[in-house]
Amino acid sequence: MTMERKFYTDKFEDLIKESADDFKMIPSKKVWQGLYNDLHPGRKWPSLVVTFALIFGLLTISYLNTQQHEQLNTNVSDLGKSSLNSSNKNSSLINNTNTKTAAQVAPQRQTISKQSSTSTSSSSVPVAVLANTSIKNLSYYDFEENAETKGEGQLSSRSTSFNENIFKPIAGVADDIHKSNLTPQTAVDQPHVVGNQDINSPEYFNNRISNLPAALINIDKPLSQNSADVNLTTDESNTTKNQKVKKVRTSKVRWMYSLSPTVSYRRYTAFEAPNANTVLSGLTNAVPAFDVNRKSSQHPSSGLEAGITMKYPLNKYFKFTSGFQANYSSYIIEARTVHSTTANLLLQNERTGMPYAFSNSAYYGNGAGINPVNLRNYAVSISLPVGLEYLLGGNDWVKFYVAATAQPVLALASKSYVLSTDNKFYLTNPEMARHINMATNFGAFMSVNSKKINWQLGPQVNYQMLSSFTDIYPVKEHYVNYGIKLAFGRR
Amino acid sequence: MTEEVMLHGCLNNNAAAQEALYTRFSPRMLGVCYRFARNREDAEDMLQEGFIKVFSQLYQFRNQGALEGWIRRIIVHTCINVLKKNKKFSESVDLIHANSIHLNENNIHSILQAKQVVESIRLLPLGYRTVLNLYAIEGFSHREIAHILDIEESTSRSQYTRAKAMLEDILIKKKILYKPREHFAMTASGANK
Repeated sequence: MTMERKFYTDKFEDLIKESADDFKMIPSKKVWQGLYNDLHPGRKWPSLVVTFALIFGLLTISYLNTQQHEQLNTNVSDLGKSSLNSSNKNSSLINNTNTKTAAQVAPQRQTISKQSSTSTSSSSVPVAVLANTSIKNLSYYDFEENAETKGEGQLSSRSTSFNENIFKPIAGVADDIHKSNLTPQTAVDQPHVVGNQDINSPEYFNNRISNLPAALINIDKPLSQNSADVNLTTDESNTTKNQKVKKVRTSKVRWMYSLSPTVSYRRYTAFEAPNANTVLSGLTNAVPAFDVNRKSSQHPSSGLEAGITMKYPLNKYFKFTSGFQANYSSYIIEARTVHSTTANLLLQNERTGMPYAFSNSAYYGNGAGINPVNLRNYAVSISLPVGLEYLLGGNDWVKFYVAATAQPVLALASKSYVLSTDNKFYLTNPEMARHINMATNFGAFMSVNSKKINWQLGPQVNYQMLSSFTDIYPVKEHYVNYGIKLAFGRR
Repeated sequence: MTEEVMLHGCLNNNAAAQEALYTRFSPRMLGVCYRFARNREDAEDMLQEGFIKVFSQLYQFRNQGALEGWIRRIIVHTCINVLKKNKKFSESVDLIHANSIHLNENNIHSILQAKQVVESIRLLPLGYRTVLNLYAIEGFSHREIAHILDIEESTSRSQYTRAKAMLEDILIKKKILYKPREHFAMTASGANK
């Protein structure tokens, strides 16, 4: 109809009808999507999408919050390595013959300090005078023994006779000396106090080195009377003073990431139903005696569990475990489509126990019907498993464990088709769904260590303790999930 | 896809056949719902619920008449049930006491072509609109309308008369419709020039 056509009012009804019949509107996509989901409920995959999104979120969060071990620079050994010079032809790091610990060397220090000859270099980092032992040029640092070409500030040529004596650096002493601005001359001639201690005193020396790793010293050759103080070059002192001894800490906690495909079963427990015929009026169908193995055809379906677990060893055999887990469980009911009809479900008041009928439209029948259809009952949830692991045995690379956890569960989404009171139809009632539940998990697994990763694999079973439904529905349903768990984490 | 193949596929719960049937008839059916609903969202809800019933009751269609007519009847019933279920009638106008309704002139502003007529219909109060839709467009008798809406047959007749008058007024103001006297006067003045 165009704007130019003008109709008389006696053709009013024709105008209205013709205009209305010509009028069309394109519906939005969500209409068909909603319609499709109603017609094909078994093909919905939003729960799996949510599960995978949860897994991705778990992995991302765990990566960002992974504990990092603090490893700091080591002590003596690193200092020793850094000061050794590969061009030192005569140097030997360790001489196993006639070795003494640093503590054994200590008492002889004073003799040397008194006998030390002058050392004129004032630009070098002063060092402490060393113990009077059979070692010629004891130093708090390793030194080069190709000292013939060295000038002032380095080892004198007399060090060539001291060809096998390598004294590992004693941490901390050089710092004290450096701070004290001690010169070789003053170190020899005058006692100098650093931190209320005379660094030339035997007591200070003993205190410093008594707890250090053994400095292996060759004491074959007696110390020369004319042994000079050993001076360090500035470069060496700068290197060593920047190295600090720090404590290496390692954490006992281990984080494991797990994935477990499962198969879900449904289990009904006993049912106690009031007799609707005597209590309720209006229901046309009698309530039959309830049979636990109700006449409904169902079979298990696939599920998935994914999570992150923290493990803390309590002792050699037991580990405490805690974590976070996302779960998806489902099973299939075989039904047939029927024309829309009203079906009844017998419920009971939670407080008084009085029965009442819940009515809803039913589109699926049990047994009789038009076309076969699979109805998927599912539950998407998150849980916090807490439990223990017990080591059965094994070696450094392969170990065997058994584990058990208890986990509070929060249901995020669920759908349950239940059989109507007369056993003829399937209908849903979201109000019956229980949102908070409890589950237990038992399993055994093998733990294998690779270079950096620890792998775990083993069977497990998860049992839902409370019914999927609240107490308003007398039938108790429990999910039982059997699966294989794969987990991995850093060693 | 022919209608017979489509029907057979839908009865076998074939998703492609169901989508084909929905795609073919949903635009016109949404237009039907739009005349009953208060807004587009309500109309789409009615459409979805109606098609659920269509697919679930499709086995009852025995090729006696056009499929579109059969679907349309289900859609119309669904619209009425939704209105009754949501008690939309009480929110707008009582079917009996609608005499004091006055149209807001600002609502009768420009609308185009067939949509103009439909939008004019939607300007009517809900009770008037429903009776007018059922009688003038959907072809129900006043007896049937009385049964559907749970009113008296005489009430249905009187409400339709009032709805028709109100709609005429709207369409005349929009110059989509002319009264016979005005039209005669216009043509006469044109002939005298």
